[in-house]
Amino acid sequence: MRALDLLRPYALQIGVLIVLWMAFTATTPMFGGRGTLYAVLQSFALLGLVSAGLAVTFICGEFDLSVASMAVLAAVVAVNTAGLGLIPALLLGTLVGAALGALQGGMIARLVINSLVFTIGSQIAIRGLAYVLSGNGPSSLNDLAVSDPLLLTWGPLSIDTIVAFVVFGLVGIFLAFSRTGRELYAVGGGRKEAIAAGVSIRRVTITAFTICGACAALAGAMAATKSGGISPDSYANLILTAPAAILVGGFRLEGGRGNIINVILGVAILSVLTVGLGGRGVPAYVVDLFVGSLLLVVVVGEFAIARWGSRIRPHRSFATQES
Amino acid sequence: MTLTNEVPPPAVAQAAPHRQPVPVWLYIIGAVGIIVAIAAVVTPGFLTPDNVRAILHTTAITGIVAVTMTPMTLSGNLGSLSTQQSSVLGAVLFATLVSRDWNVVTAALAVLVVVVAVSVAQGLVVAAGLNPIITTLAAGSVIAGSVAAASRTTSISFDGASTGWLAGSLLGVPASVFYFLAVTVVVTWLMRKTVLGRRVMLSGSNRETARLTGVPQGATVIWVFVILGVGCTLAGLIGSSQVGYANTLLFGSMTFDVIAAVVIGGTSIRGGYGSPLWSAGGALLMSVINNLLLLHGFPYGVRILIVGLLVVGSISALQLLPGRRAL
Repeated sequence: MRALDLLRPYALQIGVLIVLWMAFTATTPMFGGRGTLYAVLQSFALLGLVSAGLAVTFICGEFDLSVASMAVLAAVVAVNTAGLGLIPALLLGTLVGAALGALQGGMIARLVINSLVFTIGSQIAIRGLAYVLSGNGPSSLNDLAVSDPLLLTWGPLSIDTIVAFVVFGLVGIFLAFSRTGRELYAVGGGRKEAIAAGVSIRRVTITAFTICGACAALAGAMAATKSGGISPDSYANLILTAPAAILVGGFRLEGGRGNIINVILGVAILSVLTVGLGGRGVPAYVVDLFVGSLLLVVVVGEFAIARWGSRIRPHRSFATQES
Repeated sequence: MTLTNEVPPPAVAQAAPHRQPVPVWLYIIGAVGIIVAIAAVVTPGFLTPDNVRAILHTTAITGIVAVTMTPMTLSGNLGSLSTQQSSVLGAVLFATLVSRDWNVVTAALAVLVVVVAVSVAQGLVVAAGLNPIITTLAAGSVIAGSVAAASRTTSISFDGASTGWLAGSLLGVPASVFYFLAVTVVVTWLMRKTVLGRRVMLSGSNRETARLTGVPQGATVIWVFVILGVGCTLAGLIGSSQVGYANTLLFGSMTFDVIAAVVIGGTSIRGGYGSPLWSAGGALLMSVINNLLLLHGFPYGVRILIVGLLVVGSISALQLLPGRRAL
């Protein structure tokens, strides 16, 4: 019974995941088995890592809209420095993301500005930087052998998915057990109370955006080196799918809620949906239609439940941000 | 002893005329304006009639949507991330109807009804209290997916003979520029002189006060979305008429261009401060900068990098305005 109690907070997401999986198994002959599992796990490397980073900003009540641009920028950096070797290139890309993330977090805390508003602007600039660094066109690896290690697989796992799950583990431990991790929840749950309790908003915000930038950057860098090249207009879709994944997984815009299990479940749901629909030959824009609808249903549903449950005027965290 | 109950005349507080503090953005925009002016003088080919016409032409569609989105921003609802998709919806629907021999005016009115309805549907969700960015982001992918599925992602061509009033030109100036001017005048008037405009500004500068003083929150938000819907309709009609076809790839960078224009214009993205007129200026400034960089041979990346930095700069400068921080 104890195991069941542990699963209870995730019952809705697990239920949706099981229903989706069974529905696709019943209706789509190609669906199921190791191939499908491999395809589903593959999306953890890009969408999963980006979502994990974004989730950290969600917990403290912020929203980083620049993740897609960050992933592209790091991808361009990694592809263009691949001559140094795979690991230095990936690290360099990740470092660029972490540094820019820290800069963004610092400015957001310094200006006491709504992060959604700030990152709407900064994501334009970051994508511009990606275009500049890539010479305004696609860039590809000079030596494709560099990316060979990323193509190794063990059953349904490959190196990039393993890296992703290691990062999930680290982020999960950070959120659950570190002091800063707990402070993230405190800030998201009650900003004023957190300040009163002596939490440094500045440090928490910078930490959150650094982690977010680094995760998005690592994801982009790995995906691009694996596929052998990057076009600076890539990954635009992440601006929809990453928030969708974590909101479906059980995070809330108001912050203060959600952990790494929620991220994994949300990404798994989106991934099963994408792989399942793709297996039925559904074009990408229809998949986006489903993702968008799912996002609307989840957000409206959450909102309705919260309103009906508490019967008090909801606090709109992004329209008005007191500080 | 006589008691006089003469009361000294009350010191009449001389009501200070309502004035907005000298905005910091004015200096910034002024500085940028001077830089642009100098650049214009030293850039050969900038002040030629053809180039000025080209600048106005590229400003018009972004400008129309930026101006009509400004009331949404002013009302404290940030902005819409579905303007490109809504405009594409309008364009594709218009092309489909006209290519099926509908009367152009009837087709345009039908497009207006559909696009405004789609916009109002988003407005209803936002009015209920949901985050406008997430709502329009999700709605955008639903609209784009539906349009792509319905049009099978093909281009729909139509005969441009009867759409001269949308895509032609008058006295050498493209028709779109006149629509841009008209929209700017009308929306600015709406925000300055009407009850709706005052309600929008009040909702944006202090939502709680607006609620307590009886501003109908839901209706205000829905009207704001109606205005945006009209803007996206116009963008769709004009954009498709100019090229004689419509597909899902039209207006590729509109969504963020529009937000950039509003922010660069100096409207506070948190609402209550700004004007549709400023957004028109922001759109124009963006076009001028883009054009200058283009004439000097700067690649696309440098141009969006500079626009992005301008947006970040404007947002940060507005945030540092005295008295705006406490919002």
